[in-house]
Amino acid sequence: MADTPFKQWQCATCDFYYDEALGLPGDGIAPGTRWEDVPETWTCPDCSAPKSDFFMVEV
Amino acid sequence: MDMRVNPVPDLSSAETYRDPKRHAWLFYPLWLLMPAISIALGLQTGHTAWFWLVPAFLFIGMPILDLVIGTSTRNAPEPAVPRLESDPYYRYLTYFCVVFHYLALIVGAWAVATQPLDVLGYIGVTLSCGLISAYGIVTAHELGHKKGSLERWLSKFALATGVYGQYMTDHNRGHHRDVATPEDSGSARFGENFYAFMLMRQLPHSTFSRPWQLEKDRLSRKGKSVWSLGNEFIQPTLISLVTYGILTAIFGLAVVPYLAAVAFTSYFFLAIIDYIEHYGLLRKKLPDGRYERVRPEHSWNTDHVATNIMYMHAQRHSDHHAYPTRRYQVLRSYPNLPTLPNGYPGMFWLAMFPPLWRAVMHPRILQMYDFDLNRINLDPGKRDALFKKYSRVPDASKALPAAAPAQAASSPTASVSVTANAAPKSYKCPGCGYTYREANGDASQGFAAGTRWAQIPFTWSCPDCAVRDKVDFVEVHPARANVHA
Repeated sequence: MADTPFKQWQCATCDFYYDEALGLPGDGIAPGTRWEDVPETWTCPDCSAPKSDFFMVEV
Repeated sequence: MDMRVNPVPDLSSAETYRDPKRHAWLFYPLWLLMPAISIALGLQTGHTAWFWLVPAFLFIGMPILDLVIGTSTRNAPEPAVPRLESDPYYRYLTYFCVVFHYLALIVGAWAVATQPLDVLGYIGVTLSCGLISAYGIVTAHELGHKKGSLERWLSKFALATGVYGQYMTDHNRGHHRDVATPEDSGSARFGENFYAFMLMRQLPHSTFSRPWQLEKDRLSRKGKSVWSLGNEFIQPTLISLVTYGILTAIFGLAVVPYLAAVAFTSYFFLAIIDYIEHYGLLRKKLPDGRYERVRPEHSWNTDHVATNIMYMHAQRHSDHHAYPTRRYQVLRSYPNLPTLPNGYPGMFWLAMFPPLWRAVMHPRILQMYDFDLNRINLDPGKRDALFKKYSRVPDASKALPAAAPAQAASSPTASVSVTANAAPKSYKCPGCGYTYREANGDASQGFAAGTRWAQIPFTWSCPDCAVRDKVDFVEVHPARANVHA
């Protein structure tokens, strides 16, 4: 797991990117936090869409 | 035999729940066929009045139906939602609607070009087809929020009948991000009349600059030019041009005024719905410069049944902003939210006559916020006058420089003079490391040397990675700023 490259997740509505490498310190999510460890109640900081509306971005 | 056994099945369980509006949703595609029906009736009977069936029903019939039928706050029980969401019936209805939008456009073009209509008939047909084209935005709104590419393409086609294809880009990625903030050209401010909103903000920004910039940023992240066929502003605009071109080639130049009027009507009613949906509502700005997350109280709602059916539950607007990909049949009503006094068609009348709008909406908003105008999204040009006239508390933005200068420096609305004498600072993109230095400015972005962070628009994004926005930037400590020079 530790070797898995960090992934990016994109909001289906507003295109906000959650980058696992960067986390989201403003929301208390430390850099390196994997998507599955982001709380289910977390919502898109830009448009408030639910976590389930995000999809993984191929890089 | 025990006769007391309740024979009524439990309709609220996941398996047995029946959507009470299931068949009523058929009225929506039927409504899109109304121009064709009214044209047929007008031509058959020779009575011009038939050509006015659509506007008459929308502007007179609908507000009356909303008053007579009233409201319903019933929601589908949550366990039944997955089944309702995956039921293809609801999805196919929206697919058929796209076809019907084109049917209305084509039948209208045929009628104005080939049938002996008098002036009133011509106007009636044009207005009818323009209104149905405006409904293309309602259809497209439902389709364009979904994750599947088929639905997103159908959304573009539906929007193309009214030459408003960039709506999907602007609405999803611009409006949903900026909603209920002073930055959103799709959220009306208290004190702003509809015509000023439409012409000064909605038209230049929501229609042109914002969706264009969003596509430019998105494509640049992929290393592509904005002038490409992948541009979702250009794609549907081309569909519109081809469609309008074919209609002109078939029916001649006689359809040009008709098509222009259809496009204008679409735009006008899109703007009016935008005006209604968030008027005066405001998200709080947080100390880090972001706005608080969108909450249910940041949208106007209505549970009038007739208008809910005819706008695919778009008026359950708070739930839509909380769950943008949720399908129309399962959008929920919540208690104690900002509520409109009538359905959308009734509110159109008020919006078109600004004194009426103010008379109905202003007391409602002022009472909602206890006459504290700091909690309302105000027209900045009228801020002082509105505070003087209505507010029971002083204007907090006036007290900001003295009370919290450090916070004011990071606020895009803060007075520039506050920081004019402070040492220049630097701000770094947390994604790619690009650093903006106030001392140097950034000529490529049009910021002269000395341009303060506070003067940079809130909507500006990192010029290097275009992924992070201004609010994501972090201030660089002076001792470390040079390390990254």
